[in-house]
Amino acid sequence: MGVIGLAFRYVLFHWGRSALLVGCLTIIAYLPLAISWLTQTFQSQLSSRASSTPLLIGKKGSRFDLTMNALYFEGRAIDLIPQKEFERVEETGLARAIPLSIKHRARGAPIVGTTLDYFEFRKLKVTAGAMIGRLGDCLLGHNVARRLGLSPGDGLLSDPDNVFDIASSYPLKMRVAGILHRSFTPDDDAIFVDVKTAWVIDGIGHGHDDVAKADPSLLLEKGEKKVVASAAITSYTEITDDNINTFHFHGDPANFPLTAIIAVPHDEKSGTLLAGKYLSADERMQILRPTTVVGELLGMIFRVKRFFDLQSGFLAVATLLLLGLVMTLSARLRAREMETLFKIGCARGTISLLHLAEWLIIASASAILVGVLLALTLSFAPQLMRAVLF
Amino acid sequence: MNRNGMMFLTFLCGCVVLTGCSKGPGPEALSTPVKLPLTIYADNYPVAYFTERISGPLAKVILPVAADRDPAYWKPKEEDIARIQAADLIVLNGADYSKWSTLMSLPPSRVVDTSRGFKGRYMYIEDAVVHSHGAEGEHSHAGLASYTWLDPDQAILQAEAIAKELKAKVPAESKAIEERFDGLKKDLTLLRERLQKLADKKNEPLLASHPVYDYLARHAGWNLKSVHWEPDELPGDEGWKELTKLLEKHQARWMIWEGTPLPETVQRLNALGINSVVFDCSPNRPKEGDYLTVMNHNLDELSRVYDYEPDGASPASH
Repeated sequence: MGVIGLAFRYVLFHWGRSALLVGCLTIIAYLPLAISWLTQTFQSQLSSRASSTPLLIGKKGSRFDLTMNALYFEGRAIDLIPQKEFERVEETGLARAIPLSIKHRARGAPIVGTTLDYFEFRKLKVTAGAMIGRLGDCLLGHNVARRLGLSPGDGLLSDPDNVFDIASSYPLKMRVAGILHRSFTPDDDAIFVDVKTAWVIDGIGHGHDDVAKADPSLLLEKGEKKVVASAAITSYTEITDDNINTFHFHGDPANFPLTAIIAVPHDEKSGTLLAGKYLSADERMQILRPTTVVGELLGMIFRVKRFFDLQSGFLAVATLLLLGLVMTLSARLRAREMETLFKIGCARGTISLLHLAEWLIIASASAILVGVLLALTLSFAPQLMRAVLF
Repeated sequence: MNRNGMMFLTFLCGCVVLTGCSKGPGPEALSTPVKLPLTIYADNYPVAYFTERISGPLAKVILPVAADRDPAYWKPKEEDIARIQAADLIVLNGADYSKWSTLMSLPPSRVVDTSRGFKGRYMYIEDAVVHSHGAEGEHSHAGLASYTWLDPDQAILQAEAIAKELKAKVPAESKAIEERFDGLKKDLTLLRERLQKLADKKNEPLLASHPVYDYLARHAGWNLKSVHWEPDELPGDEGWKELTKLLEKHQARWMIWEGTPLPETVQRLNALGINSVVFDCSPNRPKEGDYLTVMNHNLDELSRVYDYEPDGASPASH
């Protein structure tokens, strides 16, 4: 049996002590590496999303909430803005506007109401099925489709706003038009609909039978120019080719709600000019550059990371000192054993080699464990970061 | 430095350069490269005609509605939707003209709502049945009057919106687009002048078979009231009752029709002292001629209304 074999047998025989040492080394290596990689993942996720979104417009309030909502479809609900703000951006001629309505969810995933320009802007491609075609269609992000096991042609019901409020808007059964290509962004975890479909889910738009020809028992008043139906007249909960033409919207479209607007200026100068239009003191909207907001957010996170780094440093030093102690004590405890080995003819160099081999085996086991843990951490990092932070 | 050292240094420099370059995707503009001729979809004939005139050889303009259908009520199939979504430009009349465009998903960056510029002057259809239900309150499904192009001034504004978008799309052709737009504007101005000359003659009560002439009536200063009759259908008893009631307050001698009315309807109207005249709104591509031909013919027909003397020869009505 060679030196390696002897060392291996020794490590296995003293499995408790060996496991403890492997555990200590693993923690020393894993913690700083994992934290560093996680923060890098988080930083790259936030930064790339932010840097690909030139300007955001929303109601004055928390800049962080607006950014989290509009970019990552997460965070606290924010005040809504009227659709005329979309027109306002378009009418400046300085930028193209992309509306976002993020109020509802379906089976846990956010429903994002927007226009086809969003997919062009984010370079999102459909891998299965087709693009949103009409009212009631939805596109699923890669992860949502996989999690819910849905494919084009299937139905997906929006979650009711409040199950205890029977007067609230009805859930809408959407038709899955297609599945988006995996983008490794929050778009993978979202359900996309046309902004008009989002308004149908809001209850602003709906379809129903012709009120003028409805069952008289459902009418409160029927005059030559005016028909008043009771709330008992039911709206369609699914948009089909047969009933789509009965769908209509109530109120002034200029006041229909949006969560935020992505403004894509034609050039840098247009962006600056557009931002300047939102600077007056009585302005009720805010315009922000997501890179600035995310930069601030990352600054805070990195201050926290420095604390973690310091803590990991102290932990590493303490553990290394402990390991040193363990090695010294181990050498003392094994002094007689080494002496015996020497007396039966084992060279001093071979005895040192035996010690080195034992520690190498422990270090290798620790390295393998660190590798496995890091691989697991990295594969779950995006979900983990989103679950922890948003 | 040995060969391995040089290779390592090169690798290191490569890594630094790559790291420096990888700043993530930058802001994306919503402009796709333009490939001529452009593919442009229009939702009715007037805006398709304006686009054809202004774009000339720069675009292939498609009105995806069969010749015998009313574009306002066209229902696109799945394949139509995909084709329209992929177009370089989608020219819409606006004012809720085509129901399909409000129910379909269209990319706003490639949509031209030609009447948006005068949305403050939109008219609502009078006498529409209003209904209310639930908590949403009263509303009407009849909505906006959408035959905006019948007002020649508005038609010019719609053409201008198309020209502006085309110039933005193909800036290199701006001058040619502008010249072609000027030619169209001149033709539309001539139509306006002809209409004005007629309108200046007299202002007598008029009837319309359908509430589609609101903008034309406002432009020409007509005293116009509408019923809801179709030229190819006999008005039922309700229809005649509605007309009789209307005539009590609005003693019109002419009814303007979108298409040639049935002879029975014409005879019964004549018995009531009402003559018929056709003013084709031309929402779909005409069988012969073009938009200007149709509009000039309409004005020829209208001149019969203004030249008509009740005590003179009997009208050559339809």
